[in-house]
Amino acid sequence: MAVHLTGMLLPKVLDATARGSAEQASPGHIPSWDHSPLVPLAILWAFLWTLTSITEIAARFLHDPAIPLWQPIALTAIPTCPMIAWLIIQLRSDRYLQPSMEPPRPWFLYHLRRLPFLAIGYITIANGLRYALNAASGVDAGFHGRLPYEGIKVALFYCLWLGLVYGTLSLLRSREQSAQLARTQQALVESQLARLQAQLRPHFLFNTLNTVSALMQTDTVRADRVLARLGDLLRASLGAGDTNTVPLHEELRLLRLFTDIMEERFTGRVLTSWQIADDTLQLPVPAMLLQPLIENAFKHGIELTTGIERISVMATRDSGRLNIKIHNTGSTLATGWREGIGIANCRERLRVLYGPAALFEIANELHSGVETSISLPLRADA
Amino acid sequence: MIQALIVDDEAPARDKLRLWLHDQPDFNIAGEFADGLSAAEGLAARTTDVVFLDVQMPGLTGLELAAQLEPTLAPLLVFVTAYDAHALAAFELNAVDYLLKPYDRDRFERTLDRVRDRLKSVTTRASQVALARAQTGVSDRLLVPTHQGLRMIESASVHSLEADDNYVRAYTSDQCFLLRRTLRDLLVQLGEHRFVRIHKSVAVNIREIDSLTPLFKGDFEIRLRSGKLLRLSRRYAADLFALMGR
Repeated sequence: MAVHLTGMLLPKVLDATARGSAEQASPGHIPSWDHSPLVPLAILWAFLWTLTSITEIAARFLHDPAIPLWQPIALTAIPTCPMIAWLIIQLRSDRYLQPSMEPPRPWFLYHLRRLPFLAIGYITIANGLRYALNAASGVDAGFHGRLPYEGIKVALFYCLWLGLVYGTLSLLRSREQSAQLARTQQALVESQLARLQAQLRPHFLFNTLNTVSALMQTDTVRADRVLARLGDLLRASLGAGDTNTVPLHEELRLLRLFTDIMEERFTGRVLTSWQIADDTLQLPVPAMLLQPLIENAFKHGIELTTGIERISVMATRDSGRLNIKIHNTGSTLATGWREGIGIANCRERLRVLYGPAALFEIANELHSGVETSISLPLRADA
Repeated sequence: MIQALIVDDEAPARDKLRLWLHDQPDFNIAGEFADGLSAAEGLAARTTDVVFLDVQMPGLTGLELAAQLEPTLAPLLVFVTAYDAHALAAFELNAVDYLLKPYDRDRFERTLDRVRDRLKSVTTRASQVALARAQTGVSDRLLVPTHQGLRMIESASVHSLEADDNYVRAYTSDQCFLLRRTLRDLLVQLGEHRFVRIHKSVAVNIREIDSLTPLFKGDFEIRLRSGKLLRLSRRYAADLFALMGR
């Protein structure tokens, strides 16, 4: 939590959190494939089927070397058609290509249960076609008494095929998971960098150091005080992310450190007021939630104006909710203004932590200035 | 004595500059300002040799202010900034003086030495203004003198510019401002694609041109939307047509 500290780091982390919670919300949902495994499976199937066919052609030759070459080829090629139909039916099944096949047993059982139907269908169609060829050409396809043979062949082919599919899909899956892991690690590194940058918001830091430098010439006690506050703020920012929620009084302590420093820098240009109800002090708030908001109030209300402006912070407790308002004079939201990253961040954090129960609004205020209102349910799960 | 102005919107930053300049026997603090517009008025009102100019200020930033200056008349500028990665590289590249907050006494003294060396340097003045313009882009707003002091007006509201000795008259629909600028430099500042010369001493806002009527010898008569009639010299006609054709 920090001096601007929340800035950039949170978006990605939050993003990840949001994704995580979405997955929890709908258990059973499995991320889809990055690249469809259909092509490798098709190649594998063609390979396996070719091998099977060659074996069968060879077997027929061995059985009867006098047979004309086209006969075993035709007889073997014919069942390819129903086999392709079978493959397509399989691939269209939800259970077939599901990326997560853990545990394997239900997957195999599901497919083995379908084996008898597929085998009967296949044998019927394949032998029907052979019979038709028979009738047309007068060749004896020799399908009498072949049912057990065909049944065993289909079962073997099918089991071998299932094993290959399982192995292939597992391999592809593990490759995709390593790629995802690498991406996640990359994002993590980036978010850590962003966090470091955010923690050391340079403008604030260097201007404050210059203020200390100036005060050292005139008033070392004040210089010391600013330095100590800056130290506290930096310490808090380095601890940012360690805790999720803090009591409101702790969050307000950091805001006061920040506003004290800003009052020292913008001597006489800012009047701050705090209206904090006693019964709100112990209520939990997301750590560093308010920091970017007070920074915005100073940036637009004070740093970009030349007059004397006001910043006020209010907290009230009201029928099970904590309401916080931060108001600044000296600026208004232009029509068509767009949220900066700090604001987008706050909104996203609230959405992740409280869902629709949290309210967050930034609007021009009637009497001039801008007001940010936050309303939180007292229980995060409310 | 070297006349210095201090411009920074943060009081402690002004305090530090004032204290340290006070120790210099050859520097005199001619004024202190907390925002860009009042600094510009301060500049107009007195002879100034050097300005310590904060870059981040409300209203008119230090760079925006510098972009409005006529290079030959500008004082030396020392940009003071807390953090500005873009501008820093440019400061270095153009050998423009700058101070990084927080700075120490040694750095400050070195800067003052450079200021003493360059007091009469014409190239420094030109490069610091050019740098500011490169950083801020073509000025969308123009600093103009009025009876109530300086004001910023929209550059687009200027219809025509007419040079008059060392001054330029800037005409809007209902007003005329007298600027102590050269027409050539003003056109650079406002963008030569937006304001185009039609005569040696006259330029018009290209969006205000209503119609062109040929005259003798290749000259044209330009009618502005306001109804004002001006003469387009044939010397500049080709440039104007090229711009309008785009």
